[in-house]
Amino acid sequence: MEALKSKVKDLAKKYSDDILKDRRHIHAHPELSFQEHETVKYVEGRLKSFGVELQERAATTGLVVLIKGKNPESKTVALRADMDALPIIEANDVPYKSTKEGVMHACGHDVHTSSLLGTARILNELKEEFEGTFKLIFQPGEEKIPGGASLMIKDGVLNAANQTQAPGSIIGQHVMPFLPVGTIGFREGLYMASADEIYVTVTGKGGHGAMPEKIIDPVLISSHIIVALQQIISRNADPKMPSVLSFGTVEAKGATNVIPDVVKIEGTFRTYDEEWRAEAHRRMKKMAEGIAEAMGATCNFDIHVGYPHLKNHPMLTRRMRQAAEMYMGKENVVDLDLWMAAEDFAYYSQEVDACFYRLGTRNEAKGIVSSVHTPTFDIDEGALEIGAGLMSWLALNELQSK
Amino acid sequence: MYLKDEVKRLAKAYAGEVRRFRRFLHANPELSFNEDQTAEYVAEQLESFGLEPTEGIAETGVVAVVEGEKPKSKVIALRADMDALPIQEENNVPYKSRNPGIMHACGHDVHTAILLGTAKVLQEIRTSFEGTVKLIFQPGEEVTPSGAPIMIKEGVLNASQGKKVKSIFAHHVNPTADVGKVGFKVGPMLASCDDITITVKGTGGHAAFPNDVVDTVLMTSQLIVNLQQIVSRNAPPHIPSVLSFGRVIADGSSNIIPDTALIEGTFRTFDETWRADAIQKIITLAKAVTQGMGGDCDISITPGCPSLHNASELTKRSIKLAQSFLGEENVEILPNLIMGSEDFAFYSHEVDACFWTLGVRNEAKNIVSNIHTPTFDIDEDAMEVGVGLMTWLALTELGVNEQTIKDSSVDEIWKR
Ligand SMILES: [Zn+2]
Ligand SMILES: [Zn+2]
Repeated sequence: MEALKSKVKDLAKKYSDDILKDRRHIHAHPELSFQEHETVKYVEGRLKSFGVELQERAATTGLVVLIKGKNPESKTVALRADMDALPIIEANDVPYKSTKEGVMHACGHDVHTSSLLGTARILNELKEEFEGTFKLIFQPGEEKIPGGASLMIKDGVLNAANQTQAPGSIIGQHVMPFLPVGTIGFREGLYMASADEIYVTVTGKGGHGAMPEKIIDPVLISSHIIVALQQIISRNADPKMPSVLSFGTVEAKGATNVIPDVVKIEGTFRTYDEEWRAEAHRRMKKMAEGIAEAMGATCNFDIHVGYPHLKNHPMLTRRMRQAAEMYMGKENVVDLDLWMAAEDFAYYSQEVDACFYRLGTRNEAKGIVSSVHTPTFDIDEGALEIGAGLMSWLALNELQSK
Repeated sequence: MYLKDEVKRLAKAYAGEVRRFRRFLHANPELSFNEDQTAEYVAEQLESFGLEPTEGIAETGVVAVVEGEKPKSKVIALRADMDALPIQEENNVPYKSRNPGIMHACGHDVHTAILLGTAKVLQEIRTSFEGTVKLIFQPGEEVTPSGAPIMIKEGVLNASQGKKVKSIFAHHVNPTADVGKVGFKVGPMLASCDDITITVKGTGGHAAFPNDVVDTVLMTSQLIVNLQQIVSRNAPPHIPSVLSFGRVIADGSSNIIPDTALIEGTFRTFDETWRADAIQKIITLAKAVTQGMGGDCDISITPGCPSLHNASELTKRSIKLAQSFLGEENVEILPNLIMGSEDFAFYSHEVDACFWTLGVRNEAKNIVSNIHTPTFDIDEDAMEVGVGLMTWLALTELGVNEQTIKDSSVDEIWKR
């Protein structure tokens, strides 16, 4: 394996300039979720130029790619990158700044895509060195419900196809601006939360604030609902099960002396267990509707169900962590905390063994510290060589493990 | 001739002129503290009656005095408000507002016209009574801060003829009562009104990281729920009180908790001691709830009108006088407190005050719209009632009674 590792490292170094060019091209030409038409064409063209021919579109702007080694029917490992950008105006003053005002790769999906292009090129060159097949998934729309992952799965990316097995495991990575470049983070088991959006409308009967006996006050009822729903977390959730219920918007558009008919509340619910998640939905709805009814109002409790929680398969993740230590050095691999944000890679993790790890991109000396989803987000591009090389190495390890 | 009959005769005789005043004012409405034309018109009329008005009190207010015999013996005041509202009039009448978007939709044109008519009558019979009647034409009743406290600060209740104003009278049109009827209430009548603005301050952030956030939305909700006890637990049960919040804005999103949230509301009650206590309790509770949850709040309470109190003896006397002047069936004793407010209340905390309602409704003529609506109008017959009753209450407060005879010569005074 040592010999193979140095081959991977050499190839990653060799192609690092091209990977950087790819990243900058994609960064400069961002496209919103499910509109990744030019991005996917660019990916197709680049792969062809590497001699990677087995390509098939899925979910319209998604792409599934097969790289077959020896004995390709023996085993399949899937690798995934997301390609979509965000509706953010880029504030970085860099040569590869977004050329589309109002659209920006502010979540590093340009990094994931260019890294996976590099990985494709490396693995394609090492075809003679492994047995089995790599299935590369370039997916659209990670940032937008229902999530490109769910559409790719619907289109069969996790099924057996083209004389290859259904993938038994899937590996994905995401940039992490809190981790220094050169560092990789893993977490076994539960990692990212499910995320559901909540839209509540409380309808009472408005009127003059001086005549409380003639009105049904949706402002007070909404307040009671928000206060009462705290017990979903404090009393109903299993204390061992991380759960968050937050409300960020409350809109009562009356006046100092006019009570409105309607109050709108928006929030989010996040947790790590699908059964509890469904039960929490039922309880929240019942409690809110019950309180409103008891106070003479009505409540429309609308839950937009988002991504499920993301769980990293413990054995797979342990293997990947060990392989990463070999590639990066033990001191450069860290454990991650639970992360209450959501990610649609979670859909794959509900179907097959999954490992989602974090790629350090921070460089304080260079002032690269901004969080994802901000207009000043950027990465230390030294991460790209690692992104491509390490994923190749992890993929090769997984294909060879029993 | 009895003076009382003369008052009735003159109120009738001048009804046409009072209608002309009212229609001019109605057609030329002006917003609070912009009553320049209105004040000028009022002053011109007063001068034409032979009075010497003072303009520019509280910006656009006008004050004049009608002096009877022995003018220093006693001073009382009559008050009218002059401002209109930012409403587009929808009535199709010859005297429709000529100022787009501005309308006399609260009847202050009627109050002003009636006080002009009252001034004219009083001036004409000035040799038949003793004392002084101060006429207060006040600006800006509809806004906070309003005209009354400024008029008071500028001295309208202070010594005039060496005598402080002893008592004050005013009325307000009431479209829920038929024309010809008036309504009185002894003691508290209208509520105090304070505007409350609370900015709840926390630390915003991503909704997925509650431990990094001091949640303004939850603090806001807790605060609104907690403040219910001001009325349910702290208010003396016999003092009517309302605390309402009509506006809440937390402008984050489904997954972003904002740094601040805004709450706006109103507090109304009928007792000045409790009002001051309640405001202090609201501030203390709001601070404690938000600070206890790790945040804070800025709370500002803009004091509006105090509660309006009709002086007990004065009002009871006025009710009797109104009954004999208009007929018992036309004087209603109002059964309920009104949670609305009116800045005449400021005068009622300085001197004995009597405030009554003047019926202006006429279902047969389809005059039924509420005040502050674009179709508000009155049955103009109400103005003769208004001029007669206001004049009579003023005169009786100055010592005139049913037996007083009208002075028939300028030089000779007949009494009793
Ligand atoms: Zn992302
Ligand atoms: Zn009014």
